[in-house]
Amino acid sequence: MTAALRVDPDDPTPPYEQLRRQCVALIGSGALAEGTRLPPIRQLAGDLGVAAGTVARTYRELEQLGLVVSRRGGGTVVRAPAATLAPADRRQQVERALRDAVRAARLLGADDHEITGALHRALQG
Amino acid sequence: MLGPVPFLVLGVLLAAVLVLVAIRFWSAVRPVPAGAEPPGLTRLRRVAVLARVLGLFAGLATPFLLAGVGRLGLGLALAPTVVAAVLVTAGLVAELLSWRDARGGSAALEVRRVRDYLPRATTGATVAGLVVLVAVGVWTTVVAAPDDLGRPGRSYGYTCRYGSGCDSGSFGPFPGSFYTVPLLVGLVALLVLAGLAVVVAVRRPRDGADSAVRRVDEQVRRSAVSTAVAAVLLAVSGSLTGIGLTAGRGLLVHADVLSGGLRVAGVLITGAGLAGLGLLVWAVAALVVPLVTPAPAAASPVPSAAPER
Repeated sequence: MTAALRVDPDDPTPPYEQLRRQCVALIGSGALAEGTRLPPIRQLAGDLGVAAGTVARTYRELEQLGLVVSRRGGGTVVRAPAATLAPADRRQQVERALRDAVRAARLLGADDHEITGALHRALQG
Repeated sequence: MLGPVPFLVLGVLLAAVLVLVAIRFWSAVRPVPAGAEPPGLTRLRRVAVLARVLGLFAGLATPFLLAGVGRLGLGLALAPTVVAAVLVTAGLVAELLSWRDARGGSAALEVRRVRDYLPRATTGATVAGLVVLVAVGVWTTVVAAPDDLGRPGRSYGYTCRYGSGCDSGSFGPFPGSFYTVPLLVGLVALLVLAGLAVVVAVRRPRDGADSAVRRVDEQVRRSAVSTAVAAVLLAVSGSLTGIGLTAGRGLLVHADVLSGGLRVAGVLITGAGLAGLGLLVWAVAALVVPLVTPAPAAASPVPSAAPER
């Protein structure tokens, strides 16, 4: 079976962020196994109807998270989830992911109480 | 020397306009029924079939139009290449008109590569035919001589073998540079056009997450690539048949006065021409079969991390 992505035009979250979140979920769940080659930027952008720059940013952010690696002429390939990151790098990536999530929640109008509640529920499972 | 080559360009442009107008007209008079399947999918299939049918009709008419064009059979010599260009152009126009029809807001994380869509056997036959055509064409070009009116590359001059009762002679028509140079130009142009058609077909966007879209689109996409490759095979095999049988016939008819080496060359070149004929049948079958192939069944579901609406 082939994994899939979708951009929701009604979601206030930027498209690159939606795609990044979905890719992280797919890699974390194992639906995208290590070594899986992601589509070329132009192909995925064309299939989704978004700008190539949106997909390029998504791949860049995934690479910064250590979840994919891009090779010139070899495309973008999934790496194992970031077990190889140094603790400081991991802390930085986690804080960045949480900052993005908080920003998205604020765009939806959520206050600190709602955000904290959602975070607790996410941690529980 | 290029003779009917401009007609190749004209044929391609006319095919493009014909297919474009016909498909627009067809879409207007036959609106897509609601609810049966995604409207883009229906349009995608219709456009693909219509383009192929129109391309075949236009291609069939081309040799008759070209028979009287150009000097000394040059139009007919280029007919296979022009027919192929018409077919490829029709397919390319169809793909461009259907560019957005298979897109639906989702995308499968798949890698579509040209080599995954090339039909292995037909592609191999095309490459083999092209190699033989180039080999035969280079030989006939090198050995050809001017005809009795001084037109270069139209006849074959020979020295009779010892004891045959003659000194020298010539025969024609012979597929020298008069025919092979325009043919080369036409084939190079066709290869570029076919390459473009294949790349456009493979890169056309689609919602690979939708199983119905994916299955139908995959068939249309593979048919488009197969048609482009089969069209090139048609041009290669048709040209090989013409060159091989024309040159081979001349050599075999004069075999009693030619040297042993040239008699062997005559047999080999005639054999190449007959092989070209076999490949021509293959090409025609590869072009016609997709039109009568039934539509595919539904595919399995695709996992998605996209949030539910």
